Amino acid sequence: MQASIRDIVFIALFAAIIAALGLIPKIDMGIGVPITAQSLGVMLAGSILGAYRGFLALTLFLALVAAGLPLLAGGRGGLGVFFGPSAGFLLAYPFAAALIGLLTQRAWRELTFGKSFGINVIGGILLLYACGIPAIALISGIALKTAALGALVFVPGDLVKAALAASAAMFVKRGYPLIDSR
Amino acid sequence: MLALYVARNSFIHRAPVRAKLAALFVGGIAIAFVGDPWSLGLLLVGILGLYGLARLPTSEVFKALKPILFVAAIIFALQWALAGLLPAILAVLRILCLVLLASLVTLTTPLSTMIEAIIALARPLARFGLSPAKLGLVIALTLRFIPVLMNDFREIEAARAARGARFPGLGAAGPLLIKTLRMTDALGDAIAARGFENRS
Repeated sequence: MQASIRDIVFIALFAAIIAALGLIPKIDMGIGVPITAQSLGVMLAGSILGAYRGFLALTLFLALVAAGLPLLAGGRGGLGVFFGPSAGFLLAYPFAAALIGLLTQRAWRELTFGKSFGINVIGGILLLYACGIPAIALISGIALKTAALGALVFVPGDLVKAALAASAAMFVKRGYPLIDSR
Repeated sequence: MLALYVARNSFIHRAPVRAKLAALFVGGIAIAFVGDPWSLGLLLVGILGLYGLARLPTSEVFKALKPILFVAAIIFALQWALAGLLPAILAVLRILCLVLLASLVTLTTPLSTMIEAIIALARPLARFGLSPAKLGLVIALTLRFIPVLMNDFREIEAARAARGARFPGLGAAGPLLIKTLRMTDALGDAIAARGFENRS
């Protein structure tokens, strides 16, 4: 498979969108947990670009972060974040985008807001947490259950993001679809 | 855009990037296996010593740690409540060691050197359609897109503020997205029209 120029520009665009989302100030949910808009970018890449381009957009984004650009929310970056507690979430980003993209492509013709929301929950929340929580446990040596408990506080914010991503996906599907309907 | 690299003259700065990455890899695995707080504390002191040898200012240590403090605090509190004080201290020490060690590599390696190393490591990606030439293009495009997007966003926010909007709105997000997708497509056509595609 060869990426066409059209693929290349959209991969670059979404890597940049994810970086730009990291620059948006954190929103406090009122429960003391700041949520960042960055994982919204993972959902957007998957549901707008599809599996192949979404996967590469997130891989590119992570490569730039690893290279030392402070692109993660709060100006984080460098290799340190891949050894920190959220490493599992980060490394799962490309696969979450790929899964969301794959499911979106499958459902493309009959895609509704509800379906897209469900797809984003599966890829953007379930898959990410399934990779991220064991990594927290592994890196800090705490019990799996403890790590899962700590991650629960992020679920409400992530549900909001899944809804935002689904509405964006529907808007783009009507206005400027980028996924081929096969 | 500002990179995290801090220019200094030290042997750590001069060490080849591959050696630093390999050391980080080995060190990271080793830290995961240390299970006693005194050895971990000693390791932490050793890593801080490396920061001294690299002539990095103390403020860089705090900058490297600032983003993980929140998560580290949650882990510490939960671990203390559920498993006891000693495991809590172990968990946080381990995170501090790992993050500081990895940040040391980033702080002492220029961005261009790091991107070269990553492109070398990403050679298997050619299989997925990203040849080295395309990889260079896609990186350059991304770095250019970021300020463009931020600018578009600011413009729309300013226009909304001028019309009396008080809260950050999502109303403009959809049209902005479509406008950006269209602009990106035009850019792709422009690049293809200049013959880049044939040289993939």
